[in-house]
Order: sequence, then C-alpha cells, then structure tokens
Amino acid sequence: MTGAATEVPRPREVGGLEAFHESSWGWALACCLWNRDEAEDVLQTAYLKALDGRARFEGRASERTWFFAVIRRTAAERRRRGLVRRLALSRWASRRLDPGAAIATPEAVADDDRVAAGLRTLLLRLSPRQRALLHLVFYQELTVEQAAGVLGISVGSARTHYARGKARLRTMLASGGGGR
Amino acid sequence: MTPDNHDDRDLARLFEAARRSDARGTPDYASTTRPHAGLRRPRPWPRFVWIGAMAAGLALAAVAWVGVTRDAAPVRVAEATEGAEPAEPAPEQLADPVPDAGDLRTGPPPAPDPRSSAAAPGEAGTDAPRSATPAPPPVPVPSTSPEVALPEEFVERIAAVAKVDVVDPDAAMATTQFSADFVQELPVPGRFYQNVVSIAPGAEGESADGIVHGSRDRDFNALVAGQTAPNSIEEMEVITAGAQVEYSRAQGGAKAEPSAREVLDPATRQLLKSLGYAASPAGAEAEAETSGTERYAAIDENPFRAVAEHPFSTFSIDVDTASYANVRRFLDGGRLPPRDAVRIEELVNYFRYDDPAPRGTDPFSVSVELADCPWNPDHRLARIGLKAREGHRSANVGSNLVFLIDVSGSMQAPNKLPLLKEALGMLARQLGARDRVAIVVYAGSSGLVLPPTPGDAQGEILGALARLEAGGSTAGAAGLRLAYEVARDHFLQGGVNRVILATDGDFNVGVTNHSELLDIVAEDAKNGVFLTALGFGYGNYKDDTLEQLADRGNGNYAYIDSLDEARKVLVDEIGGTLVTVAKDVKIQVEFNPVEVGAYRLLGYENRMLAREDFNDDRKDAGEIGAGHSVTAFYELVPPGAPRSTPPVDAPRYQAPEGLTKAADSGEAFTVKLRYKEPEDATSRLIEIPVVDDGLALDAASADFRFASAVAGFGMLLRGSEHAGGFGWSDVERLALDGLGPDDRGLRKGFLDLVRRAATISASAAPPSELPTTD
Repeated sequence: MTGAATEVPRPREVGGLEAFHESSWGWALACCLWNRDEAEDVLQTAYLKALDGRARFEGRASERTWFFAVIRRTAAERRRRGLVRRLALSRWASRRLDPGAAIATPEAVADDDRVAAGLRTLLLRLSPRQRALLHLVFYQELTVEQAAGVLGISVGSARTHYARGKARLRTMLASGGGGR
Repeated sequence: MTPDNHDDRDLARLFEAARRSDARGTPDYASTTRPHAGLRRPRPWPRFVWIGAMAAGLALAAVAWVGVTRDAAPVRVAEATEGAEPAEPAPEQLADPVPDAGDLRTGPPPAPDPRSSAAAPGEAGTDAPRSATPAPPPVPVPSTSPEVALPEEFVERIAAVAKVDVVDPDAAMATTQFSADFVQELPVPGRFYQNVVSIAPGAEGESADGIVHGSRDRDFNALVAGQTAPNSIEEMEVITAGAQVEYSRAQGGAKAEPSAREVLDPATRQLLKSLGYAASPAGAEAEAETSGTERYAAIDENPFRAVAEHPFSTFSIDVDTASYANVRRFLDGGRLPPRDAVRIEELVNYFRYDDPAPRGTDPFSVSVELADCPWNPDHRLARIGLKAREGHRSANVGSNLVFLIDVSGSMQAPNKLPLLKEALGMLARQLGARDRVAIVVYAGSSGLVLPPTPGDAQGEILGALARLEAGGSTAGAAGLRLAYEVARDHFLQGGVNRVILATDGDFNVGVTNHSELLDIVAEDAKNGVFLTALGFGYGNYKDDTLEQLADRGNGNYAYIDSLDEARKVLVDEIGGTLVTVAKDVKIQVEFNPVEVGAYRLLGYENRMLAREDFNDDRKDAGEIGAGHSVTAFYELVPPGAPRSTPPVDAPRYQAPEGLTKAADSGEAFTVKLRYKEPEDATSRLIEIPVVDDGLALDAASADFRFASAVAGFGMLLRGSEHAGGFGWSDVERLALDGLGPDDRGLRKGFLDLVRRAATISASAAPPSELPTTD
C-alpha cells in the first residue's frame, strides 16, 4: 500500500514529469470531471505509478502523451473500482455548476474563472470522448494524432469525435450556454 | 484539425482561460508526488459504497440485475446488488419482484471470467491486472462508512431483462451489444452516467454469464445466465440517482427503455428538482404498451361527449399512414396487432378519397357527409374530408433533401437497410438538377456520407446509397443534429426543405432525453425544415418515437414494409410526402344541441387540442401535403337517444344560457378549420355549417362507405366498446360496397386484410386475453 512508503525512489523521469506538472493537473481535472479531490488522487496515483516503475515510459511516444495516458487510465480505473458511487447528493449538487453560467457575455470573457466554469459546464454535456479530445487539442495543444494516442483510440475515430465535439460545443456556445 | 486553424481560435481562447484558471489551483508538485506528504485528501473513498457480488474486489454502488422475462413479467436470473457485505447480495434484494413459478433465478452472478476481467490491451496494459492489484489509495471498509444511508431512490441501477427464447430472426448479432460509441454518447452532465455504465466492469464479455459487462471504453455486452440465444436482452434500464435515463441503442433487438415500474414518486422528484437535478420526464410519461420489443404509446379511445357540456371538439389533423402498413405487417404475420398500434385515423387516411378538388388557390377543400352509422343504426356518422391540392414539386424551385439514415447494427435485416436503400433510390430517381440530396448516416460512424449533391447526379446518389452498410450502435441525436445542420446550410427559399429520417425507430439519445430530441426537431420545423419519418423493419420498432418526431417536426410519418409501400409513399404520393400545402391545420366542430345529443370523434386521440388552442396561432398542429386526403369521422347521437355513457345530473346553480338563433337553423354542427400557408405565421379560417339531410347508408357515397368500413375495422382491431354487434363480415361488406374504381388496388388489399383479421381472430383469442380469461 502506498501509505507505507514515505520516501519514494525517484527515477530519471522525475524532472521530465515535473516539467509538465501543470498540464498534467489540467488533464487530471478533465479526466475527473473537475472534481478536485478526485483529480488530486488520480494525479498522485499516476505519479506514484510512474515513479515506482509500475508504469514505464518506453519511449514510444512523447513523455507527456505517455504520462497523460497513465493519468487517463488511472482515472478510469478509479472510476471502475470505486464504481458507481452512491451519490452524496448534497455535495454532488453543490458541485454542479450553474448550467446558465453565461460564457457568451463580454464581461465573462475577461474573467478566466467564469469562462472556465462556463466551459466546464458545456464540456460536461459532451460525450467523454469528445470532451477529452477537445481538452487535449485545445487546452493541452496536442495534435489530434497525439490525442488519439493518449486515449488509445484510432486517429480516424479521434478526428470524428473531435469534429463533432467542436461542432456541438459551438452550437451550445451559440445558443448562449447551451442549456435550456 | 488543430487549434491553429483560424476557425478554432474562438474555442482556443476559452480553453486558454480555463488553463489559466486551473493553473492557479495546481497542487504542489513535490507533495503530489510524495504519498501523504501534506496532500489534501479529504474523504477520498467513503463517498463510495461498495457492492459485492463482483469478484476481484469490484464494487458497485448500484444494482445490476439481469433477468429473464416470460411474457411481460420480468424474472430476475441474477442480481448484483448494493449491500454492506461486499461478497453477498442482501437477501431481501434478491426478492423477486414478480412471483413466478418459472423463476429462473440462478443466484448472484458468478465471478467474472478471468478473461473478461483482464484488462484490454489498449486499456490497462501497462498496469498490473486489476484483480491482482489493490487500489493505490487505501480502501476503507465500506460497512463503517457513515454515509451509506441514502434512500433507495438514489441508488444507481442498471438492469437488463432478457427474453426467454426469443431470438430476433432479423438480427445476425452474436450478442446483445452496446457499442463503446453508444456508451460514449451517453449524456454525462451531472448524472454520473459514466459510472452507471462502468458498473458493468471491464469485461469484454464473450464468456462470462449472468452479468452485464462492458466498460466505458469498449463495447458493452450483455449476456444472461442460461441464455445462449443471441440478442436475448430485451430491455436495458438505467436508473441514476432516482431518475430514469432513457436510452436504447443496443444492437440486434435489444432495447433500453424506462420502465413504468420505476416511476419516481412526486416527493423524490421534487427533491431532485430542488437540487437542480432535471429528472427525465420519462417517469411522468404514460406507460407504453409493449409488444415484443416494440413500443406503442397508449391510446384511450375518445368517449361520447354530451353536446350540452362539451359543444366544441377540437383536434389537429394527422396525415400519417404508418399505422396501416404496420397493422398489415402484423396481420400478414398471422397475428392481431396490439391495440395501441392501431390508430384509426391513420388507417382511414391511408386511402385516397375522391373529394372535390380545392378551388382557386385554396390549399385544400373541405367536404362533409352525414349518413347512418354502420355499426349503430340509431346513430349518425359524419365524415369530414379534406382534400389537398395536387401540387407537383415545382421544377424551378427544387428540393433540399437530407436523408438521415440509420445504419446501426439493428438495420441489417433485409427488410430494413436493403429495403431502405431501394426506397430512397426510388425517390432519388425522381429528382432533377435543381434538387439537392445529402446523406447523413448515424451509427457508430455517424457523419455526412454524401454532401449536398444535385439530383441529376444520380450515379453519385445511388452509389452512396449502395455503399451504406449496417454496423455499430445508434447515435441518433448526433445524426439528427447534423442532418438539420446540413439542411439549414443549404436552405432553399421557397423550395422543399426536408430531413427524411429512415430508421427502425430505435432512435435515442446522445441528447439528455427524449423531449430534447423532440425540441431539436421542433426548433428546425419553425425555421422551415420539415421532417419525414420512414419506419422500417420490426422486432425492435419504436413507433411512438417516430410518430412524435414527425408530429413535432412538422412532418409526416409512414411505415415502409415493402417495395410496394415504398412506391406508394415515395413515388405515387411523393408530392404529399415532400410538399406541404398547409401547416398547423386544426379542426373545431361546434355541435348544435338541438340537433345532436352527443358525439364521439373516431381516432385522433393523440391529436386532441383544447378549445382555446384553435384560435391560438402559436399552437402547433398537423400539416397537409400535396394530394393528401384527411378524413375525420364523428359518430353522432341524436338528442334524446340512449347513449352508452350514464347521464349526468343537471346543474343546480347554472341555468342553460339559452340557445342562439342559429340553434333553430336545423344545422347539426359547424366545421371550422384553421390553417396557415406553409410560410405564413398567421392562420386563415374556414367555416362550414352542416345540415343533416337524413341520408341513409345505402345512399351515401362510395368513399363514405369505404372509409367507414376502414374506421370500423380499426374499432374491431382495437376492441372498441362502441362497435356493438358490428363484425368482420360487416366491415367486408361495407368496404366491398364502397370499393369504387380502386385504381391502385389498395382497397382490394384492404379487403384481404379484413379477411385475414377475421380468420386470425376466429382461430385464436388475442394474446392479451389468454392469461386473463380465468
């Protein structure tokens, strides 16, 4: 169990991982539907896997896309293990963002947090795959091919989901928050 | 395809802001990489409740059960349920919901097959197998969690109900499969669908029994213990936090639909609402009658209404004909159709009647005929007939057509996709240079397979149709959106703008719910893009979805069961299918209490409007296409004649307001129609007072007799209480009397149908009566 380890041996990659710590955090958040607690957990687990060698970078992709894939799997694994949580409804409800969080208004654009919150609301309405692709391409600035690698899906499929995700996001943006 | 694309800068800016926002909250790297070194980890696991029954430490906070149905009664064969002990389902939760001697329960599901719980190569290949590696975070003992006491309603649940030995003969699928794409398309917001789906943990699923398996990233297979029949899953049901999730895109004869068993109680609904949770409206919807895996909305026959209390009768016209072809399909198969598959107005409107053509620029004519009622000699029967002008598609405007074609796995059967290709090919061959056809498919690989192409490029259009292949799951909503987008982008002012949806109707989500699907369609209908829904195949047919879509999408709906039917709808009556001559056509009849005691409208049960809706131009109603005939029958009871409803007491405090002068006119009723020209927003009014000339049935027109025979046929199929002693032979005689020229042989086809129905009903009681006779 991880709790026993107080000092973790640090392989060479450590410096590499640290270089994109911030992006990893963003990706972990996206993988966990912006639940901070979960994202921290997942990111930490992913780091531990990388650091204690359970997940090994074999140089087949860039280090970042490899590590993103580790994060994604960790999040998926956690979901599957923790599986279907019984919803702590109050917390869950309070976590829900206001669907009306307007992101089309000019003053909101100036405010990163509000934009981010609004964007998250809209992203939550996309399919997970679309959401992940948009995040990887726009937020992480990966190419669609790289993103496909992170998600372990074919490039063709990634392109489709990416295009659909964009279209749907735009539609929602155009309709002023996409909600009804 | 990259954000460098100029077109995508708008989105890129949003994500940049999100990145800055996230970055401010980035946890410290050093602490994140060191376990328990100051990292904030509030209650990471007690939020989760662990469900036993899945070996390998898989925990479910939901109930997953797989059952077997016999007739309609679901019987669980296996059940995994939430409980304090991870290994054993709580006994009371194994309690069978339907006591049944044929209980096929086999106990809790067996451990997943090692092969199936092994991680897929692309998924967790770099990790140790899940079953062998404990979760990195410490796992709390679930029974000590203080937070497990949520009410039952909030438990998430996925359930599968299987047929005992029903194999969809049409489907060639080996298992009942929900594809990964289907799973991906489940709407996520705030509902934790991802967990609902992943309660079917990880298995690839060829071998394990008794559980629903699948994962978010892969195809989602459902198998049932003791079931080797392919496509044995009849029904999937997902309950998420007490609200129903509607979806049904399993392939090969499976379906998922909300079940009336799980309707939320109002208090729970209110609670969820107060938490900002938009519960699916499905729970509030009436229970749909199911035949096999087909689905029909329930229809309650219109009762007799006393003119004194309800002088007005208001409804929207309906030009759909799907019910007729569907009824024929049942009878051809040697079965009586389920009651709710029989919509009398659609049977009657399937046929053309020889009403006078409209004069001048009127979009349609209205005629009324009153004669003796065939099934009740004491009553009168009024036929209101609308005849739309024959408008051929104007060659100089053209049509902008988008074929939206369901190519999901369930469409593989010969009477689905292959027939569909032929049918749309017939339509395409009639198009000209000014027409545009685009083809959008939806399934796992939804998208535009043919960009808008001139109608004279037949080779391209037919080639694209020919290349269509069935496979994958149904992602209907995405396809629907795309189709409307294409139609909007190539909008043809003054022309025909129409999405032609061809599907077996197993058409669902990707959008949050059914009503949202309808909203998409209704929204575009306002902008002039109308919908034609063509239903295909059976075994998995969702009649109610298609009818509602066509209704909301200012459209029409036909069921295509054969090439002949395709020819009728897409060649012979193409004008009516594509060209709308009037929209929002509403009929209001005001009865004169002096002449009529009570009345009953035959059919149109799901088209009834409130009295005040008639003059409200915002209220949507039915469309009428070029050449269409629309017929409505009213059965009238003379004043003072006995009628089947018990009399009500006279009001003590209200006196009759007295009669107007018109009451003495001898008019039986006045028919009022409101309609809009296809591009207008305000309605026009037509009023026709009708006097009963006492016509005998023998003296009535051939069309009157034939149409009333069809209505009577519908009443018999529906088991109407108003049919009296009227029987199949009466229907046949009446129809024979009214046969007329019958140039396309449709009416003769009806006679065959009546004889078949008579034979079937003589040889066997309808299945629904079998279990209840004792």
